[in-house]
Amino acid sequence: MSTTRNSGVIIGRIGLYAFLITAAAFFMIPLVIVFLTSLKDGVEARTGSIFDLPQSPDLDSYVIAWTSACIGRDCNGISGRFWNSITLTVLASGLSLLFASLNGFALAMWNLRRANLILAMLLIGAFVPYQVMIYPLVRMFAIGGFHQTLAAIVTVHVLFGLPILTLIFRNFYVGLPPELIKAARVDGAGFFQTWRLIILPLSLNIFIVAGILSVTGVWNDYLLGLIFAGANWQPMTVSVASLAATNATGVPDHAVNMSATLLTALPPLLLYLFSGKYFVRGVTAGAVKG
Amino acid sequence: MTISHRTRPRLRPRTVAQLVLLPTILLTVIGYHGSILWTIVLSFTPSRMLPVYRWTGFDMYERLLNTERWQVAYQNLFIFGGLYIGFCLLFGLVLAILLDQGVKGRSILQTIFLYPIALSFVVTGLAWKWLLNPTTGLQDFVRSLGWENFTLDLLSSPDRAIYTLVIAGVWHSAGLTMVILFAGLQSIDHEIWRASRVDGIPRWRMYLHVVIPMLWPVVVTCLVLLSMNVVRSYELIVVLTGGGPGFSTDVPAKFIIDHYFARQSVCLASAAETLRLLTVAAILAISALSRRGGEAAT
Amino acid sequence: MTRVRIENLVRSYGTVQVLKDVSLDITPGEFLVLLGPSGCGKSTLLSAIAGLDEVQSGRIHFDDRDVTALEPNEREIGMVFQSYALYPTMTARANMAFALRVSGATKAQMEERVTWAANLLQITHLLDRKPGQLSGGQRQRVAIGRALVRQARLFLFDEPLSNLDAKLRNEMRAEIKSLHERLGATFIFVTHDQIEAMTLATRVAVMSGGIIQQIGTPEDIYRRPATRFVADFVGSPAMSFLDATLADQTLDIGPARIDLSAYAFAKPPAPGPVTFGIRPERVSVHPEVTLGTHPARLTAREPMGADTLLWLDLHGQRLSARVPPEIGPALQDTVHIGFDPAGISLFDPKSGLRL
Repeated sequence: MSTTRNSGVIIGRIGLYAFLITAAAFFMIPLVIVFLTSLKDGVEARTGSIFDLPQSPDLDSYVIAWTSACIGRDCNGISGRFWNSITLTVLASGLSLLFASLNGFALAMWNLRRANLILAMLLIGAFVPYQVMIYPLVRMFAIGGFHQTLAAIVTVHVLFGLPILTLIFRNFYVGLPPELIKAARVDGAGFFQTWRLIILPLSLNIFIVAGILSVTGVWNDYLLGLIFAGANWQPMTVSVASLAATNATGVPDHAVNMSATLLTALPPLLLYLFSGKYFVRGVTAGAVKG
Repeated sequence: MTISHRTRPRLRPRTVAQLVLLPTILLTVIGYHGSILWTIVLSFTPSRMLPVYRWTGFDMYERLLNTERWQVAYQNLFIFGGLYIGFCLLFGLVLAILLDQGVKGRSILQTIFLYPIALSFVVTGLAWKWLLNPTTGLQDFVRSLGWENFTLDLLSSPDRAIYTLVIAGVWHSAGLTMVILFAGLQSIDHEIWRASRVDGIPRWRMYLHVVIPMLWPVVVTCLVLLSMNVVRSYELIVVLTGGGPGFSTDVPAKFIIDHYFARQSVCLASAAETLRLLTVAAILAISALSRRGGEAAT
Repeated sequence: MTRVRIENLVRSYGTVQVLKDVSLDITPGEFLVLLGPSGCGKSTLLSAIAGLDEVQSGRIHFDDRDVTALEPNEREIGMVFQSYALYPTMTARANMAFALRVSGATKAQMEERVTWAANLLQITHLLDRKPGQLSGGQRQRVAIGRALVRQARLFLFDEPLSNLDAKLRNEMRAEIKSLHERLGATFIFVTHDQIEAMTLATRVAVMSGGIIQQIGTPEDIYRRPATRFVADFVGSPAMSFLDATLADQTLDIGPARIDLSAYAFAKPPAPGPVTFGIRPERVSVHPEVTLGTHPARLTAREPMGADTLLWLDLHGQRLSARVPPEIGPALQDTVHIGFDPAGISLFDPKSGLRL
């Protein structure tokens, strides 16, 4: 009796692990083949199976992708685009977080009339697909004379990042004791002093969570970069997508493509691996009850 | 001893709080509400590349609904959306329940299941395109194992290309569903498991009849998140299939962006946008109702 | 020392009126306790005095200065909150110096004031710790210190002792009292604890339903409660209330007739039904009939250590008596009770006002 039950349990456990390992393989394979291909050279990548191990693994494809791969007519690699993406991400995420924290603080802790209405108006932006607003924004920027500039792309990123980030900060600040603000008022601290000296030092964790959401969002964006960044500020995602497209006309060098792809994936991937639980909180923060 | 008090007049902190919100309110009103209204207005005009303000009524909607490409794109939204959401939920739920059985190496597995969510849809599309390419990809690999006639030319088949989108999409998002559902499972009172052992109820029955119904609000959260991904889906299609072969894998977002910028048919794109907006509103209304329904049931 | 004059204050949230036309005159150097159950409006009144809460109408004067429209920091007050509201990321020293820091004081000024307050409260050794590293009582001291540093002339306390355990509460209570004596400033202290009110206050204002029911010395409040609410709320064990009928100089509770010639009526009484209130310690219990006693049935004994509470039935109405512990066990079921005229309060059964 007990032996049959035990063997049933063991078979169950084996099945359980078999399924989990198969699932893990399903998730790992695309990244593995991209990585394997990036270590090959162009000929090997074109002729061999994607699952073959590289015969002489080296980083040459990365060097080509970084310095001399052609994106359209521009043959200087994706390094410039990488720095574009860095600049965009730093500016857009920095500004978004700054505004979102101030907004969240103002909405959560000052008993403002219609605070909930303002929040609801803002949250429309989190649910409406942002493509709805793209064309009118293009027209507005064109009228303002800064279409396809750094200002334009940063503005749209801030605009579309604000709703959910503001909500995250607001929900955090609502949980702080309101007496802190009262004490600060009795002590004579103004709005910005209270924010900077009392609230900001308390917000480190929530800044990390919101920052992860914002940074991955801006870095991984494609459409906004395609439309609003223009040639000078083209982000990495746009160039890596078109890198593949342009090479398809000649002899495609998939090793370089995959190197560029991996380089594009690397910053958010590292952020994911090193931020652990914060990352999960960041990406699921969008799921808070709205 | 007296302490100098600041004498210059300054704004009350509450007034400052209101002023701080002002830029955001302006940005919201102009950026969101203004833009949405503008789009709706444009859908009733014959604008081509630049806005023209002449009332054409519902002409554009009529033209749109008679455009075959739009019909396919709109249909694909539901085919892709239904399969993507369904499989994400199913796969995510199965993984979450399995991980809840006290498996060893849970955090490593969780890390592996979730990492695609850190990647952009562009990277997802590029990786899967490479994996599925017929000459050196999965098909070639399976043939080399001995199945000489194995074909997996999903990408070149108009009927089946859409499934590649589903596979890549599920690969990207199933981990997120798993994490959210797993958190839901963990938050369930452990007493009910002890109660079920006292009552001698098998675990699978507990999941089916007790635990999964309790997860309903979390499932709705996942549904909303995944639906937003579906409605916005653009990059994955552009990179993986380019909407093709033909326009068999077109989706509204791609249809709209193409018509705004490549085809310079702002009026048609705006009409399509407006229809999509109504679709989103319907999804939100349904999810709000079902969430309320779920709360009433528990 | 500040005189605080409050005139006709009204505050409502939506349709709920929390303060209904409250007026109050607090003399300089007074220790005023606002006492009442939760929701009575006492904290709202304190917030209004602090300037943390706007009022719909009415005025607040500090001495001759109308402060109704001023920000809290412009009112030169110090305030201690129920949860202490210490800034979690700052050390005790930085917490205490914060007000001076934002007003642009010099380092030397800050150091001098903080040292002075820390010495006064004996927390000098705690100054470099953060709130998370302090015990409840220590946080309380830092919070008081933060209020002291501002050199305020008016100090506001919002239930500052309610988060402490019983022993610490007694200790801090004594400390706050001695602080008041040493500083000579005006203190306004909100609490729902009548022991705090009785021990600390020079005057107590009992609040209920957004109005001040009575304001007076603790002795006044206890001995001559102005309304039935005050009589019931103040005093533990609580005053007993019995239905009675008033006739000229006597009072009937059923067949029991009580002489009222020593009772000080607020105004000439009219015969009719009244509410008779008697403090438990003013009820004497005898085993045998004596002069002026009434027979009653003993229904329960509750020994409380220092004394014993007896529950009695007087012609179908319940009352309690507080007696020395050695009396209790000897009593039979039927006892004879007498009322000390000084412990009697009479109320109009309709309005609840003292007669």
